Amino acid sequence: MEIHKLSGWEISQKIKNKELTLNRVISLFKERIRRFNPQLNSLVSLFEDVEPPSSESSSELWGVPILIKDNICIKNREITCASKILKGFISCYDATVIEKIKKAGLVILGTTNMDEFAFGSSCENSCYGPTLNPYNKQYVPGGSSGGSAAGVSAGFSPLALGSDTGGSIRQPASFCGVVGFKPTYGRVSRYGLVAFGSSLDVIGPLARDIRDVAYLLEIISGWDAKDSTSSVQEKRPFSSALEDNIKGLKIGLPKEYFVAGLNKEVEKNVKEAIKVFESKGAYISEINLPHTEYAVPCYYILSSSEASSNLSRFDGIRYGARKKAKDLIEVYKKTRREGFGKEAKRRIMLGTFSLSSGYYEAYYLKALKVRSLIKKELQEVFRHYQAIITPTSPTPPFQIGERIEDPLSMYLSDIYTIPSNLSGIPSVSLPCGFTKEGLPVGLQIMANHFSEDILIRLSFSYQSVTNWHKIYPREYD
Amino acid sequence: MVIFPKKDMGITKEVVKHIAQLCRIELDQEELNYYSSQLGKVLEYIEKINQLNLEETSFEFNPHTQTNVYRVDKSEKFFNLQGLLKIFPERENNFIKIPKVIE
Repeated sequence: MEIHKLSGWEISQKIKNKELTLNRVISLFKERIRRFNPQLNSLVSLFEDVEPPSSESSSELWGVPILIKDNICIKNREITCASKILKGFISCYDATVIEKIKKAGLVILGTTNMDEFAFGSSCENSCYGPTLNPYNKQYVPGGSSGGSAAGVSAGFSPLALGSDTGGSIRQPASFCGVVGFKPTYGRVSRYGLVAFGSSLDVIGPLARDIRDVAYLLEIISGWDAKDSTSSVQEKRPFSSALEDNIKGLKIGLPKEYFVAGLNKEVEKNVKEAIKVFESKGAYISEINLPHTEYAVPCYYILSSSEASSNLSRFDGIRYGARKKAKDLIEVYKKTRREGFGKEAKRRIMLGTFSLSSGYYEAYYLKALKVRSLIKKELQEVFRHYQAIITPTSPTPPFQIGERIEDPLSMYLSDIYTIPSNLSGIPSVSLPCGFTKEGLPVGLQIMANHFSEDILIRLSFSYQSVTNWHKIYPREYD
Repeated sequence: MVIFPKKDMGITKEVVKHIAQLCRIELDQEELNYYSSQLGKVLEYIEKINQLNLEETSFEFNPHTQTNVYRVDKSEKFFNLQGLLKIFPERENNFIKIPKVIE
């Protein structure tokens, strides 16, 4: 039995049936991480003293290992957001999602690499160095949750948590051949997630099997008194959407997403996948989302503005390292100069610019208006359609170093994922094939606010007749 | 006080210098050149939203309309004071040390 290829829920069942022991499972995954992580740099920290589940729980994922992105607080562990400025920061509390997964009996193995403060789409902007794509180490794993995606992809753990502000769960999931799920904004508490763009951020699961995703989502979602933007919307039992029945569902394909600039191989694979949904009885038709081209500029104004404000707390006074200087302002300036990487500085400056006096109306306020247009446009579609299918990213994984000095081309790799964050709707990326070179391709499904069940139903239906999610990288098979 | 240039002039080094001062990031001359050129290109792209007529468009700050959820304004005992204190870069006993604020 190849334990690392079992789904999380299968592992849990086998432990409960006494076919496997918890210790064996934990030591097997730790062994894989020790052996292979030096090649991929997916984890920034492997916990030597893993905490075993404290209680019995009826959870379908009891005893299952999980990796956590380095921007979600775990009590008594170092959390750095892959930034020098947070080196040495030991969290004194658990994020709400961590409290919940511990209660459900999941086993946290360690923390995963990311773009610093989640700024990036390649996992190259990290103080720990880049994470590499398990399918081909010359390529990026995507970002910012690149460490989580690469970890699940290489069989370091069946599950991981990431965060998604503009595509940071879905794009790396697509680059690493795994499932990445961005829930509705507010569905999952952000308490204990280091804030990037507070009106956009959401925590979500990565796994190979949509069943694992549904179970994990069920565990982490729900209203939380500690997050004033968490939704009071009743949570549906997401696992009851795990059924192979999509007959009659109406799916839209936005014309604006299938245009020049979309890589031919990505297009081919996504179109093949669409045929699968059609063959299962879904109605597919073309739709229009004319404001799509404004999503990226709108997002970079809003997310950078929110980031510049959120990151003002990293000033050397409260956390991490403090640089000595002659006065307070110099302490701030030197600490931030040393502590932040290039991309963090770019975003903070861009955000400060768009919020500054004289420019606020021209940039920030206008971007808020564009956001409402994009949201309205999507909601209009959801009056007639239950889902929208698109590629997750316009290209397959790109090479390490290819875009790192060209921020604009890096930003454009999130063109298809950003509208979901701007409008707060849930979306999932599913593996749907490979390029000739053997690099993974992902498709994205979007649905209306709080309609995660539709995404799960469509994903389950797709995975029940395809095998893309089961194809491991050759070196980590 | 830095006078921002007209938008069509793009982002100048003076503007970047001013922004860096506002967000408390020290930049040397080389970095100033580097960020001016990169931010210039990004801003040029972002200008795209000005193609839209937004006069009549309304906006909200959050992605879906919902009211703030408040909790009762009641103090709670924090369970991990030592853990909290350890986060601060400098401390003495149960006190935190910060640089001098008032000259």
